[in-house]
Amino acid sequence: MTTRIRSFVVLVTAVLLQATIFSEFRLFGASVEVLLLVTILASYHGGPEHGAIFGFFASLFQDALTGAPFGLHAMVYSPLAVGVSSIEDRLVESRPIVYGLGLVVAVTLGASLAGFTGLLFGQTAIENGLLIKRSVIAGLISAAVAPPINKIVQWSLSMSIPGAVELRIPEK
Amino acid sequence: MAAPGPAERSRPTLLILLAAALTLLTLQVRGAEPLDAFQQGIRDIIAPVRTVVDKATDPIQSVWSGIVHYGELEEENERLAKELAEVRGEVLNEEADRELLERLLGEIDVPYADLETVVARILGTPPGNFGSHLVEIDKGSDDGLSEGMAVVTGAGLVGRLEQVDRQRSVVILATHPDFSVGVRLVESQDEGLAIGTGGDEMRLEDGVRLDAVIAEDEVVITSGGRSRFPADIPVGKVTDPDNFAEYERTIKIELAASLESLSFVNVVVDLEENS
Repeated sequence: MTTRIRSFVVLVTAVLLQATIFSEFRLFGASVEVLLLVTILASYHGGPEHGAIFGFFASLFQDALTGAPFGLHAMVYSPLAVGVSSIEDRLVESRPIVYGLGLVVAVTLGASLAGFTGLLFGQTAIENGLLIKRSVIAGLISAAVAPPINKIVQWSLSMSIPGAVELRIPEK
Repeated sequence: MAAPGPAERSRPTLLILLAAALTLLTLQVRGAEPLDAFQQGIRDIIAPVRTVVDKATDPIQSVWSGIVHYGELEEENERLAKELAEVRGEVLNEEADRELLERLLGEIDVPYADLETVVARILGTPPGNFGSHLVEIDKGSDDGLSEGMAVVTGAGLVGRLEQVDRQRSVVILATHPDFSVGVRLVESQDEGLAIGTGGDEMRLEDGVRLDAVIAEDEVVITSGGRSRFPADIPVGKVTDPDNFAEYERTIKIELAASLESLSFVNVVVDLEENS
């Protein structure tokens, strides 16, 4: 199965999860931002270009699910994907806690930026304080469910990630 | 010269995607119908899966809701116990008896006018984290619903249909800042435009005379006429008549229907005949 097909399967699964389970189980009104989460993970594992394209399509589905006009979430998801990938390139520290915190920050930032873009275009009617609160909770619960989703996204990109290069010195 | 890194290579892609997003956004905000239809198509394809998962996870959802909203449930329980005690005290009074009977009748039927309605179940909040003052119901265009229809309960106005798919719809509640309805004050007969505040009440602006004498608790109903809502649907009662306003009058209205604890609603389907 090629990377594109695998990515498509991941995207469709994420859409179904977002529309069903993750919309039904909420914590203080906030739900897991699974489409944003897979975008961030795709850019982390697949690089900025893959992340930006994946994020674009994920955001179109997010628009359809939330009833927002097409393109609204793409204004945030694609640049965020490129940003995450660029920061990942520059990361020196590689402890799991750093990745976990980074994920919380990235989802919170993405969710709140999407919310504020919605406010800008008159698509949402929510107080700024509540928007930030829900974004933070969404960031935390999204990071909590990230480990299994991370494995699936990693699997979807495993064919495009170069394996270890073995260097051999030819025997004389 | 060094080859460009991945970040540099992704810049043109990002610019193209942003241009595409802006184009789509502009087209849809300007009302491009094919895009609306496409979005609705995606939701219609997903809807059966959502219904199946909804039903399958219903018991777990109840447990989850009980855990997450435990504090709120306790508060509500306390409030309901107080209300019950008050009602028990008032029940001796003949007038209170009649009012209670009317209210109970209101819970099982829509008493105002002979409106044709479709009963719908509240499914919860639509997907997304910022859908404030919106609820999703389990009826859609297959059941004869269309955008703009009034949504009521026996107690009064709840909102209107904002987004109608084949099997589901989204209701914009009367407290949503984008919601507005033409209303009439029953005693003073003044008419105005009531709008949602984003809180738990409505605000009556425009149309009410500065010298109009409006009492607290005055009943507010829909005015009908050119409004898309049928006339005489109870909206609520005045909590602050703003009688001493000197320039612009802003009257606060407490809604008759409790939007916090909705389970079922009635969608008024004979909008054309009644408006």
